[in-house]
Amino acid sequence: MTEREEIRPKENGPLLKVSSLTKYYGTIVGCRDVSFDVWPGEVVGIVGESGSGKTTLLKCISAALEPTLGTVEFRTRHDGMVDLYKLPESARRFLMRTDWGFVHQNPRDGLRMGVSAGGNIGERLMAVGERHYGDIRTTAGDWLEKVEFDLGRIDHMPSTFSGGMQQRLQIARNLVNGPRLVFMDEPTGGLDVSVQARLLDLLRALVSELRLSVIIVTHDLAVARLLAHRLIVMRRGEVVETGLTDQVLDDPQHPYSQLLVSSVLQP
Amino acid sequence: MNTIPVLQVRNLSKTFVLHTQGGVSLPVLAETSMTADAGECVALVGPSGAGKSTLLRCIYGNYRIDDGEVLIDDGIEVVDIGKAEPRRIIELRRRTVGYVSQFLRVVPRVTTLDVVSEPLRMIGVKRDEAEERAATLLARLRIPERLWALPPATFSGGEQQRVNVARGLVVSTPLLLLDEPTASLDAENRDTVVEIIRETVAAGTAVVGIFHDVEVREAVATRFVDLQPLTKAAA
Repeated sequence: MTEREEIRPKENGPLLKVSSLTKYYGTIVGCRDVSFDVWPGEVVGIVGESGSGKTTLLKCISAALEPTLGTVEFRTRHDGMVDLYKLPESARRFLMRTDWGFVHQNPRDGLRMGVSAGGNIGERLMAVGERHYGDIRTTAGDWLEKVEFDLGRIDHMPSTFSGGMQQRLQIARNLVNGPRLVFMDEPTGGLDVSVQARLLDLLRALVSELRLSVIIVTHDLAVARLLAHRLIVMRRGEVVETGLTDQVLDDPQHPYSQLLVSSVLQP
Repeated sequence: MNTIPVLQVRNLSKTFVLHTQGGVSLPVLAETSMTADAGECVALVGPSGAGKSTLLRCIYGNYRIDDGEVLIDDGIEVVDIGKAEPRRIIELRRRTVGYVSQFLRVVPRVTTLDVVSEPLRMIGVKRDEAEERAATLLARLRIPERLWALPPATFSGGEQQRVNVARGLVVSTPLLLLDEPTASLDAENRDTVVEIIRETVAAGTAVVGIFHDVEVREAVATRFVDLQPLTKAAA
């Protein structure tokens, strides 16, 4: 894997810029007036209880749900910052294939269940132009190894895998084309504790070694502490506090953040 | 010679407001000032509750600063911790400010060797070299080699504390913050940690520490800063 590079010399601006993002469902607020940047190599955690607007926000910034107001800008490889919702649908889809990954809480939402493990990864490579079967299979194998997946099962269907294996496969599928930004929605949510620990450790290593920018939504503050550099605390669709992860968790300022932190057994 | 201290704390104030406890306000630091120069070890002294750990955590950026400044010179520029962006603080923590907390925060499944070598890998040191340097330090702190491949979660308090010291000291930083680094150590290991701290100071690091053990404090400190609890004024 590539060596980690220092953040400062190469940074020439944020990778993603969210400005005054607002989403109404009719008269109901999904999220309101949310603004933040994500810089290259930065892992941003969005925390808050169920119904706080985390998932709405994630959908809006990952081009899955058009916001009512506000903009989401992404730094493309060649054309600088572009406003996602002003791009034609085809260009947006192209970005999603080449530059983004999305790890869903339920692996079934992110995997092709009728395609083998190897095929799930190969499909992503073919989507960005890989055609050589041998190369695709080798790369798929490398990635399966990276996520500690039993290579003997490369030709098996995802439905025959455990939840933890499915989740690792989904992660491999999302990282194989070298995305610059990865969205994660409760990536360890449905797994039991021992599997969760293993997956967290894996995610931590991958994120740091690949120097990924990640936006991770979680209600689990322990997950947030392990993975995120920076936190955004949401309540009722609004951001109530932001800051360095350990600062928000060890010295929360807003009454709601204090409540959130003090309600956890072991934050 | 560089005339700017590595660390300058100016009129730092810190009050905890506990919203879940009816909004109780606990002032801990009021207009505290201090500095630390390269090659000195400043011991924070004062009774429990005087705000020694709070001061260290404010310097590290772990606690927010209500008022005043914490200025750290990273050799390129002077950074005001209270106003710096999170990513700037993270970068400072990688290369400029080391911190040894009272307790090791363990990550499930991560081996001791990885825990200790990680800070080196984060600044681009190759895995082999990082592990070699981590191993040298672990050996010096008498962590048996058979434990290196295990996560430190099941280790004794003293072993965990030594792993913590190793992780905090493996990268040499211009500023090092120590919160009771010898608290749960036996005499022999305590002496080793003292020796390592003295070498670190001699090599030019500015150290700010809390050392309850008087012998340790006398052995490492070159200067003392006295903190006293604030009189309970606010409510």
